[in-house]
Amino acid sequence: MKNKLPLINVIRNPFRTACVAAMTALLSFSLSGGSALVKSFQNGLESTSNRLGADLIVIPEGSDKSVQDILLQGATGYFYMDSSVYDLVSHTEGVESATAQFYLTSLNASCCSVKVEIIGYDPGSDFVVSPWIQSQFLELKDNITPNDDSREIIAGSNVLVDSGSIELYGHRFNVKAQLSETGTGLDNAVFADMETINKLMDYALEKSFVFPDETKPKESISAILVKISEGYETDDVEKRIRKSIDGVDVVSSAGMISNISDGLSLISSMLMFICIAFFVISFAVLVILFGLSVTEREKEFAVVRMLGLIPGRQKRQYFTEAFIQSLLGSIPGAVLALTLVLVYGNAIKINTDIPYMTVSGPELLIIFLGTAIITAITGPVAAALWIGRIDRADPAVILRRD
Amino acid sequence: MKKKLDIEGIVFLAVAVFLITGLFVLFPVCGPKDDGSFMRCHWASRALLGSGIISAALSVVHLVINDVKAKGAVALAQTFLGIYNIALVTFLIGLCKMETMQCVAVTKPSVVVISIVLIAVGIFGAVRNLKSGKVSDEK
Repeated sequence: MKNKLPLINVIRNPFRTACVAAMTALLSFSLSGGSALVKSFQNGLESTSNRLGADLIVIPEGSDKSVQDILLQGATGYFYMDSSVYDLVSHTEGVESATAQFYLTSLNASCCSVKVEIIGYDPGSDFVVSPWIQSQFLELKDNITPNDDSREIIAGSNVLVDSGSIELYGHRFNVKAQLSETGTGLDNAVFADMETINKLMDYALEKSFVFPDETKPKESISAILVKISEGYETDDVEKRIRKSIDGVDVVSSAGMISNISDGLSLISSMLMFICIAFFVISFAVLVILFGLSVTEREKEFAVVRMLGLIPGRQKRQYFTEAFIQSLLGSIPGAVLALTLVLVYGNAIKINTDIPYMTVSGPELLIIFLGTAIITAITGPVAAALWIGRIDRADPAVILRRD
Repeated sequence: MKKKLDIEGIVFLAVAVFLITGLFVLFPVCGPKDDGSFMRCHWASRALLGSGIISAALSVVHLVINDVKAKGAVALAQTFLGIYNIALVTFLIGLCKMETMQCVAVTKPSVVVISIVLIAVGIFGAVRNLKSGKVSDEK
């Protein structure tokens, strides 16, 4: 009976229990939801940093925003410069290696699909896409390039693959592999070698695709990804490229990551502010609730002490009661927040400008356990502020009061 | 005798109204294609609208009637409607295939969450009312 007393007290006072549980649920909701969101954005940032691969990206002048949108947000776009720029960049001092890419967009295909970004890459010089494909699908290691039938492509995780192929410009292309999610815009892209891209350009022209004025598609490239030699500063090489080659812009990966980091810091700060605000409010309300509860239950505590319950045990039961009431709120609060973050993951991804990659199972478990435990102990901590009142009370005096 | 506040009925009605208005305002499905025809999600949305209207009507019945067993039956019906809503957006009609489409990213999770609330309150109401009705019968 003594062991069950805290549980009985919790059940006998549903209103008080509901109030305490509501406060801890609110706290748990904000803490776990905020933590899951921030971690998901951090995962996206880390994935972006790993996937960008290059130190610098050389693009036609005025295309810096477009390339960031394509790489980070999954936007579609295309822009071109003469392929001779590749030789100029490759021979710039400080450039260890360079690889060209060609961007194209598909048409809106059949029902329920959207435009996809088509990225052509040169397997011979590539150091950005190939390692990613190798790391995702080891069986492609010795056969990265498509086979003789140049109608094979690699698809990003968000690309809709229908029966192992997708339709681009009215022609079906076999999907050799579909990559795992990266949280970057590359999830919405398909990758093909230059031979396949040449075919795609022909198909595009058949479908009246309009390339920008003065563009000769088969003599053009969209971007050059650059790896810098050891001992050279990124800024110096960037300046050298800008100075020596007209009509190009240069974007640094570090700069892109830094911009995303700034955005992420802002979001983290906002979420932290919200969590702190909720914590302060919830804790204040809990302190008031437990204070009122102690005042209301003075006679009950006095009677129990008169019946022989030692003060130490009484305090333990009081804390146990507070813990159970808090736990009844902290677990559902955390479960609800994490469920919402999981089910709305795609919605968050498509509505934010920051790469987003939903937390993994182990991360989810850690966040759930951590926030549930932390918020479950706020109740006993708030209750502890009133424990002295229970201790100091003289049962005889209390019971003699009317 | 003072009538107790019918919290379940109010929740049912709120959920139904939220579903109906949400389909138009908060989490609408994808629009028509360029040629004016509609995608699968449009028809799923129409079916959900019908389900929402039925749920709202049943909620009003729950609020108006006094019979405990009848309330339990209505609550059970709401549970089945919740299951039906989830089935609509998953396999009965389904939505667009691409995960980044509006209907999959926003409409589907919203309908699922709303339906889970409907199912949970429905089960609770059904068990409570049908059990309470059984006890008063025995008395």
